[in-house]
Amino acid sequence: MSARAIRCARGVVLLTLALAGPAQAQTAGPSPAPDHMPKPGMTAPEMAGRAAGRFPQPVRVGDLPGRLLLQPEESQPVLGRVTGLVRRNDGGADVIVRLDGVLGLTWLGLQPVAWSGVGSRLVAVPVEAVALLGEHVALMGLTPERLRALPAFAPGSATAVQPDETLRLGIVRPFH
Amino acid sequence: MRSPFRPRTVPDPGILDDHRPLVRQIERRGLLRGGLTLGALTMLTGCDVTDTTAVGRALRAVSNFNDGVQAALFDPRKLAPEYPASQVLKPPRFNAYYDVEDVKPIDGAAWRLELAGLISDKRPWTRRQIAELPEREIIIRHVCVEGWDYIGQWSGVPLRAFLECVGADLTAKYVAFKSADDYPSSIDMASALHPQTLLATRYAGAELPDPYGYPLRLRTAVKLGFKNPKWITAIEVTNTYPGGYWENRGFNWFAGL
Repeated sequence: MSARAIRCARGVVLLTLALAGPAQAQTAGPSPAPDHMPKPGMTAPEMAGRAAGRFPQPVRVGDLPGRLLLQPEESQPVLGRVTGLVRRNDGGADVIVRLDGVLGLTWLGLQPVAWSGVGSRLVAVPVEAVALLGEHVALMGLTPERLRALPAFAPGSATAVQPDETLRLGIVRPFH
Repeated sequence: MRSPFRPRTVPDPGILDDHRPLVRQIERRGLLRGGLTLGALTMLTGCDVTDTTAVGRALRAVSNFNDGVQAALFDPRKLAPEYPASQVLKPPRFNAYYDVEDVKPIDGAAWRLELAGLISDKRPWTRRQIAELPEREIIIRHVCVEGWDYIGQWSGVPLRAFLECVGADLTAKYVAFKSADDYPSSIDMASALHPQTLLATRYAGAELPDPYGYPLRLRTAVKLGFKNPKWITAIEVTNTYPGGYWENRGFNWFAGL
């Protein structure tokens, strides 16, 4: 391959990356909220009530880290990634989610870019607020705004749920 | 979050209303009609292409033709890939034409499997009777027409063994299913007799949970996901085309993998 061809190929790869990045980061515009979308001011008991109606199924805790947290709308935007589960003081459990960093690019419309580790932070989401969507997890009890407003979770500040334990989590069908 | 390509200010939506007839002219169906008049006149002799129902009929004819090609290509002895147990997704993905909160669980004790059509012994079956039949386990990929997939571990009675047991006419064209969630479905006899087509009663070694079709569902490795009805209540063997929930709404009937 000539040097010119290599330069050309490199250019195509860079262009593809440049276009793919923002495309992945976008979310759809406002649309009428279907019933499965989280209610903005949902309380913890309301959340638990809805979760109980989603036919909770046993899932091994060790199978959850690494799963994507999806927003329950047609394009299923990625909100973050599950890193583990911790025990709550009331005996329940929280899912620890890593929210992607922003890198100060909000003004470009590139808010949640998956720059792992750079500017990202952890938050604790009640298990009642999420549901299993196949190999992913969907945010059912909190709006994305409320998720991002959650206080940062300090690693080690709560007891981790062991990977071999089994929890029951609600399920949900795809949103598209 | 906004796309950097989206303008800061959007035009007045009223503009769309003002130009609605024009928008209607350039919509997809218009292009399709144009395409048909240009390219497919030989296939549409005597067909009025300005009539959308005629276009619908033409598309249906092409879909039926595709079904025929798929059926001709189908090899009843060829097995779909199977996978190691370590790749099984637990719990599996849920899908239906309604939300999971609307699933109506079935009372297994009262449940009966009704039989109809070209079957010599039409006595209904209980769960216990079905459990006494030989069982097979398959770890196969579920492929949804929506574009997602997962690997699942299903056990149950091979549909071929069940049809032989009840004296079904195995030369008939179709095996049709009725389900408790009003999701009729049907498959061709060759796919029904395929060794990787089961009347599944268990997932990952445990009894089928309610939202996945308890007590009995179809699970076949040779069809798309929507051809696997859950909560089956009746099976009919027939030579009359039975259609199905999505098939009656325009999906391909054969839907093979």
